[in-house]
Amino acid sequence: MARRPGRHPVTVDIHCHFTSKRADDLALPLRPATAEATLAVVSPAERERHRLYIDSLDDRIRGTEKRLAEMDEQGVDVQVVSPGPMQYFYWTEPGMGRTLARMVNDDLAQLCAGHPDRLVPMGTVPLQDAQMAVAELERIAREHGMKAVEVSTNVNGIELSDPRLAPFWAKAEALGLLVLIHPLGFTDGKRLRRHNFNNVIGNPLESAIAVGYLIFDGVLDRHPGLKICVAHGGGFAAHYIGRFDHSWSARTADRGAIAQKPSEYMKRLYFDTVQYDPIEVENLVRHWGADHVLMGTDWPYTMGEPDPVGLLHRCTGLSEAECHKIAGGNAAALLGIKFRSSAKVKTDA
Amino acid sequence: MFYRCALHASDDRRAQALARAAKRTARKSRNLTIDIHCHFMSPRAIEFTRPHAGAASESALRYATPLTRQILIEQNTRVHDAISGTEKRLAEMDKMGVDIQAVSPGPQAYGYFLEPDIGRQASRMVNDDLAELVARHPDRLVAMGTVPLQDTQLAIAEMERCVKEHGMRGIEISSHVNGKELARKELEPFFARAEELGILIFLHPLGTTNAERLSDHYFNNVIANPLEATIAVGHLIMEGVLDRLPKLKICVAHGGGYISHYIGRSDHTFRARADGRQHIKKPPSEYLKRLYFDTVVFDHAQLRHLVARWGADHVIMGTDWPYDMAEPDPVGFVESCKGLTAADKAKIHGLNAAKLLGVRAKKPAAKKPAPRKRRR
Repeated sequence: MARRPGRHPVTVDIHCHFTSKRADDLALPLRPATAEATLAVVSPAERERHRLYIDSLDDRIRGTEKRLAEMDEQGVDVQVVSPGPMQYFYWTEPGMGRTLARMVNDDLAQLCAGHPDRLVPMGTVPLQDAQMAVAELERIAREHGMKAVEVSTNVNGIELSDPRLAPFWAKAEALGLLVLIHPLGFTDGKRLRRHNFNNVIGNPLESAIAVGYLIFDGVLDRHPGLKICVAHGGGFAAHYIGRFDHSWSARTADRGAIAQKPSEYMKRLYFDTVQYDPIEVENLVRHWGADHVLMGTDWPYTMGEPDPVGLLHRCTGLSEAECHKIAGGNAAALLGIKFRSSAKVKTDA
Repeated sequence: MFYRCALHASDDRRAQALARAAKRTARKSRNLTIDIHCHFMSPRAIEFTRPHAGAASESALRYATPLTRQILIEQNTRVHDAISGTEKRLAEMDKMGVDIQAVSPGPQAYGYFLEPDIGRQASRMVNDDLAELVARHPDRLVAMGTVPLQDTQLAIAEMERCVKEHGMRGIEISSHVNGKELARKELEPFFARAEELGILIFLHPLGTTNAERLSDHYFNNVIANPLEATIAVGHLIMEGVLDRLPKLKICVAHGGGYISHYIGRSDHTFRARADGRQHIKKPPSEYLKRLYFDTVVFDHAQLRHLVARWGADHVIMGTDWPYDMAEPDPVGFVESCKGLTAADKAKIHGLNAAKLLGVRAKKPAAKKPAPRKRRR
């Protein structure tokens, strides 16, 4: 796959973000210092540094001008834009959560409507109330035509497999939406304060916990049609499935609700390429298949992959066909994105 | 599901797996085989620490469902004879095709929560009993001891005693000390002394500090152990301990946990963020590649990854015997892994461990697999 040839495969970024200013303006004055796991355990000075960092992203993450310019630099034709995870707002009262989710979704839909050939929206729902989440899921699918929704790995410490959330999974399956599971730090960040560890370790850990519960509590067993993509290359679980499988095989009394071994459920999931490391991307492809890996960046954060197409180039063990699927083909198929033609997409001549 | 038999089913499965392992091993391996990850328990030390053990000692039981708790308690009863003696141990080693065990205490023996002097006495008891055990079969068993890491000076003294008095080849440690990281300044003299002595540190976690969300499905083992290794090794790298102690030899249990399978994110934060490189000069993977990882990963793709990424010199056969989270067929697991050369397999089966532990064994002629096969 050449970097930017005249005829190139369409490239889709499944993992990149947006934040709504209106929603921040409404929510942030209400947010307790302990609302987010990562911020709850750091000093006020560290919290202030984080606030300044987040503020510094505003002119990229809120709008389209820099977004489109950076997409061109990265060789990304289409962004599937999801809310920055600080905008889940699961910590608010349900009514406020619904208001905020609607605000984020409406602003995101508007952003993408300005560039429908480049930007595809992925919404958020107030998971602190499953009925409201279901209602908002239906609304964004119906009113905004959204094909995907982003969720965190837990809801205020409650696992995604909690029975209270069952209506959400049933509705997501029924609507055929892609669910992007995107963590926001481990709920207990005390030992992960230093070295950005509640992101570096906490995020892939959270995904492993979330996927572990979805598998062992039988959510994936009960909803075989669910389409789930797990951020950051699926986190630890996608790279370390043997211990799940062994536990299931060897500890038969403790198998929980599932009929098949955990890897049988894991292989239905999708994983992004936010790994920074060609070996780890290739491991995903070899283990779960090229059909299950989607190009992503985590734009515009410091933990974003600056060169998502280049990363695929560095995966020397992948065939061209595999690269094309990963670069955009899989995302297009999952989300029903219809490209006019790659020639329409701006190239950096 | 027949719950009546469920708890015994794992026993049967284990016996069956061992039998299958024996057949495969007899057929396939003529390499020297050393198990780097297998355990011992001193009944005397358990009795000694019992009155001193508060709730803090029972984290494995605290973060568990009633079913998991029941299985753990039954398992401890079931493996008691095997883990504390030599008779079943040698018989199962023979079945698995393991020539030599590098025996370490079951991680419940750490006792870091004990008052330091009590901890010192408990460690001595465990180590003396372990030394006595391996002395019965010096051609089949070597020992790695435990130290009271809650007190750095006591830990150093006990490590020196283990090496000098008992000729031990390594020290097993947990992934944290009562919630404090291994990489903190106060503990560095321990690692510096381990480096000087040239012994192997075997890093073996025991659940995680806050496993409230990991109580179900045995996640406090299945997820928490590879997580803990990641937190511990992450700090040892990022705080510069491995940078300052380049000759320190560390083997990380369970294939190194998550970090050896997922280093890209650490390397990226080193490149992209000032808080990801405060104490180190090179990307985290450059330090990680000095470490050793056992084969307790249960998945050939993961084993291939460990070998391809970190080199066949850095992967060492292990089992986690005699627990239910153990690999029942350690020799066959390596032998049947596609993509490894015969030389890779020989290193992983035993040559790496022999070198690291200073074991001067050849494949014992009496235990060659071929005659055993003929006897069947």
